[in-house]
Amino acid sequence: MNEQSPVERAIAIDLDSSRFRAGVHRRHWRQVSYEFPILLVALSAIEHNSRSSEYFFNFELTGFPGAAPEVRIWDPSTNTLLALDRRPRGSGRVAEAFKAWGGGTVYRPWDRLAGAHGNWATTYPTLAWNPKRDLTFVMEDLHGLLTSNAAAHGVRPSA
Amino acid sequence: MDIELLVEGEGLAEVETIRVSEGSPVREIVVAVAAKGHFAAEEASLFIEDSEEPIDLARVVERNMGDKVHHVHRVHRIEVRVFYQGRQIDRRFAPSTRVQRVLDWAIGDHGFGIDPVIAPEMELALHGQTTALPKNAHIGRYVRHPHHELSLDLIRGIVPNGASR
Repeated sequence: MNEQSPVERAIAIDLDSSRFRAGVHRRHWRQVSYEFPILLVALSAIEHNSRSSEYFFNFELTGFPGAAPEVRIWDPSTNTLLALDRRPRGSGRVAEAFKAWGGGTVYRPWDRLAGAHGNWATTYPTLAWNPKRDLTFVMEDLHGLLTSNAAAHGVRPSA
Repeated sequence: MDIELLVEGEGLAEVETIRVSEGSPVREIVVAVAAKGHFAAEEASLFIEDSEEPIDLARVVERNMGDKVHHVHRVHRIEVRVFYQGRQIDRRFAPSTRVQRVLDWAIGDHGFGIDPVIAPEMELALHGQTTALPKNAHIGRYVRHPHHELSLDLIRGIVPNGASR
């Protein structure tokens, strides 16, 4: 019998949660692959020119949920970071989240590397990681960023 | 055969999963959510996410209902008021409406007509608070019968930045 570690169990619970599955039903995101500790997901997006698209994210989940996920915007065809010129464009918030920086991860307070610098846990408690958060919290934040261009164009795909 | 349904509703803090039998009256969904939300099922209605009108409770549960998130609430219309920079706008929404839909209206031409440059950074918070509401939450989760009003603030979302080198 294949026994799961507490970390793997926590991940399995999150992936099977009502909140995560609701996002799948709404076609906001989908699980592409999972082999501990790497989870690859695809999230739907609306480009700055209002076209629909999709981006991939690589979640490194060692120590989850005690440790925050380490999340990178990903190119599954090369299994590397997505090239800078192919990353999402949009408002300042979008540009800031997906910029290239020293850690190489998504630049948001819930990310393991980004959240560990600049006193972000204190400055941005509503976006910072804590062990009570779940994967859907991250998915919802990413999806909100990736579809925020809809607000500029007045376009919004149905749920 | 049982099917799983994702549901929100009055008294529920999150989307939850219930199991109902295919072919049973959809009223079974109402009963299950009312039990979770601790209210009387007889007064409640069933909605599909983001739809304006309730479902006929004489219908039976069909397998394809599992593809949608449903909502159970005793209020049919919620009077939403949004505040922004000393102004306020009002509109009625079904309780199954996602926060995202209310936000789209509030920033759009029928709402405050927010500049497209900053519109992607706007969020909604409960009136007097500063934490952005989850965009996929149904507004019905913030209203408990017999109340039927919801006051929100349109706020600028957080743009975290720091020493990023």
